[in-house]
Amino acid sequence: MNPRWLLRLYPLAWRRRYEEEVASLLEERHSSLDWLDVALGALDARLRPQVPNVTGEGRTRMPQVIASGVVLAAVLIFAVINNREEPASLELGERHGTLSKDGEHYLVDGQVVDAGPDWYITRTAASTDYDGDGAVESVAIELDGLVGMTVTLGVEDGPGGESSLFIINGQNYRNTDGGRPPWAGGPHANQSSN
Amino acid sequence: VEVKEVSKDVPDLGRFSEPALFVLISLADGAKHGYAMMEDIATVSGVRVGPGTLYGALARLERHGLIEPLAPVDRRRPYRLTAAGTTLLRERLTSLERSASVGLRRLATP
Repeated sequence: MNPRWLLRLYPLAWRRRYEEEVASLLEERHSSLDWLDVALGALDARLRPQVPNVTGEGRTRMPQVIASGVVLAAVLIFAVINNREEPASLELGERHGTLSKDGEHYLVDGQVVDAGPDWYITRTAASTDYDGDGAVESVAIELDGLVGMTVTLGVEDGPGGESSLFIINGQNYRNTDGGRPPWAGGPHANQSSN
Repeated sequence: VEVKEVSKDVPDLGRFSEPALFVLISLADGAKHGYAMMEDIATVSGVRVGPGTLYGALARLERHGLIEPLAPVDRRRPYRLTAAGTTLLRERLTSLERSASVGLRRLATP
């Protein structure tokens, strides 16, 4: 959405002088930050007039300042929500090697690959037959079926040396859109889907 | 004494003093319209100036007679430095250069 409507928050004298130029500029580029910047500019123009008023209409009037503040708050909320909805882009790496298991941990070439909490992988049905045994079982059983086999995994490297599992042999295990993991709601939230 | 004389001649541009300086630097090599200024400032100074901030600075600079508008091309209006704007920019940059060299000299001293 073009934030041109925000220009109505500016004093009339300012709009007469600059509105068309700024509107033209906003048609070329506009982002959430531009919305916020234009709203802040409108507030500033009302509190500290930048263009001389010929008619006196632009004298700072309290209702207009309040209206500007309300819109500013709305834009702030919009910007926060908008930024939260934008998922972080993933940088997936590839692990190719033999899958092994050490206790609860799965490893490829000695590096831990995190498939999620134990309660999740044991209770959740896999989305496909990863180990090719003809049956779609829980994630844990599917992964166990791949132990000792050569696998190619898509992973995101974490700061602690662990890698989060996203792709198993070319098939998605987790959404790669960077959203929350499927176990984010905890074991109770997940039980209803099993 | 010299600093006081310069600051007396410098208009108060409030919180827009830094964007205003970026605008003056952007116009130092010729007239530009708003979008070109934003692109130039991002390239030269590495600072992203939004439309509201840019036009707040432009309005103040124009009011102080430091820049002037030219005839619009389509809906874009270019601006250029006035003689007063050129003088002010030269004074500000000279002052900043002096401060920067003192700061760098002090940093270099063990």
